[in-house]
Amino acid sequence: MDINEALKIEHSFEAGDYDVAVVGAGHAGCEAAHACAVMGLKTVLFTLHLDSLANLPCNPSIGGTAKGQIVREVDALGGVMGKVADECLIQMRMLNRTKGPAVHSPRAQMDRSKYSVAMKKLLEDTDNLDIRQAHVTSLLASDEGDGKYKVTGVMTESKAVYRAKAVVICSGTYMESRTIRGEVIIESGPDGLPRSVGLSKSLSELGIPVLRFKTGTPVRVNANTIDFSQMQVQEGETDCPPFSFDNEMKGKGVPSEQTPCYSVWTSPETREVIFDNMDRSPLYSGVIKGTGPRYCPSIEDKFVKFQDKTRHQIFIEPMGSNTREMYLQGFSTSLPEDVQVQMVHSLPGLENAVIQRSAYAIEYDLIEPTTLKSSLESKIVAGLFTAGQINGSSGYEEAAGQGIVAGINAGRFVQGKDAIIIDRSQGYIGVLVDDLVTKGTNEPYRMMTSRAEYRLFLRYDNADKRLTPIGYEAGLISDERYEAFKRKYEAVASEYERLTKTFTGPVPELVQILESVDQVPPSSGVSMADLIRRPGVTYDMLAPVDKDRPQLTSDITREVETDIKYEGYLKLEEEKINKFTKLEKKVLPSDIDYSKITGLRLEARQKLDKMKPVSLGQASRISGVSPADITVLLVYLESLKGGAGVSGN
Amino acid sequence: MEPFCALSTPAGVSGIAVIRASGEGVSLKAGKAVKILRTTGERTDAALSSLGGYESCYARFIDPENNKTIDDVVITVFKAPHSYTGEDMIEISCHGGQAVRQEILRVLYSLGIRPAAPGEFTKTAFINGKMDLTEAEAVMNVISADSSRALDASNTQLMGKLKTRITEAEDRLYDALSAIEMMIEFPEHDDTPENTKRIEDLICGVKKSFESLERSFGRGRLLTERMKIAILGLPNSGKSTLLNFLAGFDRAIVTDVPGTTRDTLEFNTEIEGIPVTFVDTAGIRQTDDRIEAMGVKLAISAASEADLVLYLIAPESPLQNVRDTVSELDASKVCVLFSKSDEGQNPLKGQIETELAVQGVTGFASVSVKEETNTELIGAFVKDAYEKAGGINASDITVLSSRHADLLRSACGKLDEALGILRDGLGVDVCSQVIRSALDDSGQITGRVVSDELVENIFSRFCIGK
Repeated sequence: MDINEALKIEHSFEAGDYDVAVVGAGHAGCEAAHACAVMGLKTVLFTLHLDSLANLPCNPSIGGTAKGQIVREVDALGGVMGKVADECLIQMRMLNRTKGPAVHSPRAQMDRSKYSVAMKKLLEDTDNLDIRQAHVTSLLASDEGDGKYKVTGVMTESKAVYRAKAVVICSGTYMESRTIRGEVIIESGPDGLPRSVGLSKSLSELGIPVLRFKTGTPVRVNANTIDFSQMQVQEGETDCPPFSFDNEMKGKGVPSEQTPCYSVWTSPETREVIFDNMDRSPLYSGVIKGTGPRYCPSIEDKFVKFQDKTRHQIFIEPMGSNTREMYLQGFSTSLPEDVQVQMVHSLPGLENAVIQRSAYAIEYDLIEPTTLKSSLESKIVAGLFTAGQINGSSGYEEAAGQGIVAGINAGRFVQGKDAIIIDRSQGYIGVLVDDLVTKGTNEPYRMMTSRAEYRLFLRYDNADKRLTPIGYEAGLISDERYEAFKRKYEAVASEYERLTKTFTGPVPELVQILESVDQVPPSSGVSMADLIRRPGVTYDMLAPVDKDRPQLTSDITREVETDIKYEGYLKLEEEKINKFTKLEKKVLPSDIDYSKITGLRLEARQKLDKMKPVSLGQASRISGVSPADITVLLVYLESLKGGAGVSGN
Repeated sequence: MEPFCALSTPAGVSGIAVIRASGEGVSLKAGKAVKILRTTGERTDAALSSLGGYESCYARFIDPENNKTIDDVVITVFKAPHSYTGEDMIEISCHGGQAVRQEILRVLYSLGIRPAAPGEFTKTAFINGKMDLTEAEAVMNVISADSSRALDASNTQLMGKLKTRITEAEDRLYDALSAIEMMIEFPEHDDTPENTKRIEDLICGVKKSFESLERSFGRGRLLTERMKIAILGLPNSGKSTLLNFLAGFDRAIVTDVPGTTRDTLEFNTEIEGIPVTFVDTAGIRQTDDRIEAMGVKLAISAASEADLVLYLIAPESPLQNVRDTVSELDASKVCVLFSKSDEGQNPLKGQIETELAVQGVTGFASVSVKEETNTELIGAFVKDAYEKAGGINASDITVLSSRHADLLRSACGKLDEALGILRDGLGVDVCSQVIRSALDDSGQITGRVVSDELVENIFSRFCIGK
């Protein structure tokens, strides 16, 4: 439906004219709307319920492996998730401390309601941004012929018609969603919120393929009814860096007072309850048709699929500092409510626990992400961008990462500028977007560090170095912050230089330091950098023999230390990145008629024609395109370059 | 691109051979091994890097380690973009002997010019836009032809078996990798410290498998290269007589004076249809003659590099000498010929046979070249050794195998590194990355990994140096 048709509908009216309309105010929508507004575009952000803006409907935490890196990347680009998370965290830990800097991942427990309020306030205070509670039911687009469309606006349930040059849809798990607890199925969004009706149909009418996924969330219980004495306590860590560069620069650390988490193991009784009631599970009875995530299975799934494991670990996490509500991580289920009660009571320390919210599974509509470009713009509807769970991902951080990319590119679309693409060597966000749009996904996609080819390079500590210049180019980073960023990296570079040029002999202090980590003292003078390269030796440890070192903050010294310690490996990775970039730079013109390139195998011809990859690199990652096909394309590209203008025949 | 090099003329004996190297700074790097005698511009003391495009020079190719001359060569310099690959290139024309070629390549490697991957010259030419459509189409033909050949090769039993074995090892490596990744991705569900021990064990096991496979490829070399047979024995035990007999003409000087052969002599022939190179050695004995002593040293080293050692024991040879000699060699490669059987029998024959059999020698024969008694047994020994060395099913696959051996060697190096990282506690993030690159190597053999080495993979269907 186009705007003129919409305006002919009874009671419809013109409600506004915007550059960008963002539908959905979850973690993707908030980033997208904020980015567009900061870029100077007149933006409107729609939410089904203003009090659930930036809701954390599942785990009350932000960060984790790979996810923590994404939060920092979003921040480095000029996003808001990290800032709000720093403000609302009640516990923080750095995961994988012993496993190498590439996989150090911060994870923080959030005060859930505070997070929502803080994000709402931040967006309300953002210039150029209107926030509107409304139920968007239609995407409006003009027919451009040949099965292609162009965005013109959106219409709400109350027939309000908003004009927009670009639309970003971040519908989360709301489109045509239903929650499932055993035999009870309710047409509802998550957390008992209203669902989105009609929007998914309007997308499918434009020719966008719609898929259906499933996810779920565990029960919440009242802390006053839990016996924590039977549980293992997990305290926070105060020596974690904050998520946001701004806070790091201000020297704002994480709070010293933190709220603990707890963990317990399931009992034999838990297993019994689950197996006794398996016939009532909608997962196994076939009620649930959507595909669920493998990495975050429901507890019944865990018991069925990992029969050799007789018990599973459950984490009990606070939902905030002004509530007694506790979240049972690892205990998600779609079994009926009465069974849930028995299951919770089977856990040690939770024998008398009172459930405040039940667990449920939720099914929702999403779009086929391979119909997107790397800018997250639809290949079918010009000016339509999507981000978050609608693209098949899962997780707040993954949503935010896509949100900022979609926001930046929706803004640039309106500005008539080329899209900004973050590639696989630049960030987890790049890996995430490329995986989704190139390979698609058949389950909710969660980011993992092992999905990144250049993991040593995609570190938490160097996210600013990788992405802040891009955020600056996009207009999301203030001059002031960019100057601070440059100062930081000048300090990193000069300290690196100094360490390679500062020498010490085998003085007693050094011998003592080295002996403490089982290292042999050097026979003659040795540079600080060479010492740092030795196993077990750290930057901080060398202070007694490096007396003239400047006073530097730990974020700087940490990065210098990693750069030195991992130098050889980083160089190898850089070589790999260079090779990768070469292929990424081989652009495949969008008007290639693959069906005419006879050297390609039939499957490759069809896949390439459907996907229209932008580069040889992207083509090579499409399943069904073989190395031989890539060679054919190489030859074809060379022939184009030669100006011969040949077709592939 | 970092410079790479390869032999561009076919492997095998030829009058001259051409070695090509391409990449940035290639003249500067190779120049360290080149003493220019004269250039086309009539300069005599020029550095290789000072030569312009299409300029040539006559030069001495040396080993910069010890300044020893390897060969006199002619080098032609090409400057980017006016070269085959579009990068700076040099072409070294040297003499055709295998040793010379290998030495020159070895020196180039040591100077930071790495071995070219299969098809890398053409691939580089391609990437640098040095090919027009006609040429590109020709390339396509080669690719399709070569891939069908590769398909044939992969269907052979030998290749199938190797692939299966590598795949099995890879599975174990993936297992180790998954264990590491699990530790990283789900740190809350931290597992026991035994995990690291298990990872180490897995890596060690895989490394051993790769190593033994790599050695088996070494044997596969016989399919394309000549089998090397050393003739060894005390002075005057009849080595040169045997050689002359096998060659059909007087190749070595044969006299009754012990120690006549002071250098090793080589000649190529075919035995039972198997291409072989015979190496005659100086007699092995204690000697005060410096030149001969060198010859003896050479003899032992030639024998230890050979695929088969024909060890001649004359009737008068003492037992102690036999013991000492065989103990320096791989006994499984030794065949004993009791020579000059027309002149009588070694009185210790029985004892020698028993002792050497314990050491692992399996072939024994009494021969007389003069009377041509039992000489046909030599052919049988050669054939046995050839088959034992894996020289069966001669086909194209061994052309691939040197590449495979390189990849396996590279993978082993990386696994060693991974073990070192685990021991030093540097961080499993790096360890995982190193294991992945080992898998990238083996994956290029099994075709399991389509990684960022993609273009490399595509062009790997070319022969090296094309």
